[in-house]
Amino acid sequence: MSKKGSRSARGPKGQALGPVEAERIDEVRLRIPRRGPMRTDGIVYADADLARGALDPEPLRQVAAVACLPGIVGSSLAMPDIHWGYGFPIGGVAAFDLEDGVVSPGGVGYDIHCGVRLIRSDLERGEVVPRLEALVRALFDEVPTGVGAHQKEMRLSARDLREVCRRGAAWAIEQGFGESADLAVAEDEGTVPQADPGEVSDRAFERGSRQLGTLGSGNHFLEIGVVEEVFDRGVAEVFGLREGGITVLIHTGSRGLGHQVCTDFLERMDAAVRREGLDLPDRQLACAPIRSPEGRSYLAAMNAAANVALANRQMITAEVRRAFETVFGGRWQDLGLRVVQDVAHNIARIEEHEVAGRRRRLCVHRKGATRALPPGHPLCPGPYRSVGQPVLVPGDMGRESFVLVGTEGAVRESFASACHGAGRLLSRSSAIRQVGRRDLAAELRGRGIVARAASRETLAEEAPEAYKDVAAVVRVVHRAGLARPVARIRPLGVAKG
Amino acid sequence: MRRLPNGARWREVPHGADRALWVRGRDLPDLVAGCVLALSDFGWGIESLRPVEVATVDLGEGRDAEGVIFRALAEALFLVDARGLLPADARVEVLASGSLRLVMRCDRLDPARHRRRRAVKAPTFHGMRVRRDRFGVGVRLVLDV
Repeated sequence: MSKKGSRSARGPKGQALGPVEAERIDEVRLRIPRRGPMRTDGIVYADADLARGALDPEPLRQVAAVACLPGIVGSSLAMPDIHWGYGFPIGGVAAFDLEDGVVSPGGVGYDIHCGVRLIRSDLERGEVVPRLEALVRALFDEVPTGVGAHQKEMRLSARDLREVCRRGAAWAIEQGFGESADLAVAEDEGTVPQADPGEVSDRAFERGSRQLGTLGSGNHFLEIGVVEEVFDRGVAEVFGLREGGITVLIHTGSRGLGHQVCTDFLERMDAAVRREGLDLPDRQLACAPIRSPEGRSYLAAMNAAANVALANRQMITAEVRRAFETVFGGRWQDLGLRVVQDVAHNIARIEEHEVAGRRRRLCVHRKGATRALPPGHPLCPGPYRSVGQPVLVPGDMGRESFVLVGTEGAVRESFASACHGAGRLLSRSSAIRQVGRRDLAAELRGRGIVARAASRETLAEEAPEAYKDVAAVVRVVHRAGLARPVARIRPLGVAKG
Repeated sequence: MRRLPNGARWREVPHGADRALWVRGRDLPDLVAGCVLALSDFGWGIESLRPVEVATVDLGEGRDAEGVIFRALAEALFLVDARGLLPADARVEVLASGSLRLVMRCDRLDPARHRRRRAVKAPTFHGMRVRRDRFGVGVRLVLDV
């Protein structure tokens, strides 16, 4: 199998990257061999089916472009949900040496710490389906949506927002938006360390001051689902999941504050790249040495934005719980609405990994990829340390989502990473064209799914056919040994941003 | 192509992932202002906007053409998202020092009059390259939506 890149590109020494070709290594892995300015190979996880129907040349070229960056360790990786990003591909994983490597805002993405939170409940499908319309309406009413959506009643002072940047979900809990048990199961226990709000610009604070507790737009969503199939009963039990049980998925991130941090640092690092005379294959790959003032500032600001995302999902959790209380009566505690996990898929982290038999501290960029820690790993949330970290993989709104669990295989070959979703198959404008005048909401209703969105166009952009089949993505991750399926969740109700 | 108040033109072009615009202007200042207005037209429909408030932004020195466009778009998006100001008209002034100043005449966001057509969150440098020909200058913008 061979995929040709559409355009040539230039690398750090002015060498052209040229057309990019991928060769098959085995049933689930493709290699882009090192050549020209590439400093290492690219590895793309895809089986023949995914490669045939859902692997464009441009994302492959982006995998090769990332392999050109200074200080990359191991291969430039892409998960099977890979699709076209800016600079880095979505689904990309790349690790950099702390001494001579770089950090890149384009390797994290605009929506810093965009991630997924899964909530489980004691409710059964039969109790929820008759009230589904009311529940989706209540969620839509409780959680503001849209790109500039804000909380009418809440404008945070700069001082409060700085506290959010330092303390993340823990701040939200202190303000009454949940309970401490919510933190115990979240990555970093809800607070990303080494965050410095002093590195966040006034503009970012201004954009973020009224957006906590809001969903945003694009592919962000709230989804009510039902656990339709359990693959590993023991692990599912530890996660609090059972067949027929109702769940809620929350997908959102750091909103305008995170976007502004990314924009600010892209400009700063672009200037640094020009100053250093680095010739990047794509200007969106703007980066700076991790040890440089720009690199250190970015990591501190990025961690601050990550805490905003954690606080945001915590506050939305409180809004979701309120919506359930409105529709079903009683207290959310009595409905068993417990957080299963909160996991980021757009983040760079300083982590320790074994490379060629040596323990090394690395800066691991995951842009559209999820950390997948195995059983016993010290960073795995305490309640799950005996079984491994839950890996949340939402699919499109018409098919299904998966809960996986991390394995040793991911530690060995992907810096403990797995996929983050289905991955786009169609561009947004192609999806809108393809849906045309069809009544997508009615089609979904015919499949037992109630969907509400801020606009008809948003719904069309997020149409099921705009995404790869998430089951095919999960199959590759499983066969590659990066994570193991635990449960499959079918959507019942969706509120889109 | 759609014509903008400053005479620049734009149209949407296919992109494999998000949304991309092709913008043309007579010269670089005209193109920079055109990019800001194309963003307004794409997001809100420029005909729905009334210029009632002026916002001025120093685009600084030492940036190349793409850097200037990125800066201008970032400023415009900040005004929309944080302050509810929607650029209805724009021009770029070349100062004696050689630096550029973006002057935007904006409408104030009013949910009763304005309906967001498309949500744009950020500009990108991805694949951005200003092209010059005998008719003027043009650039492809990939937008994070």
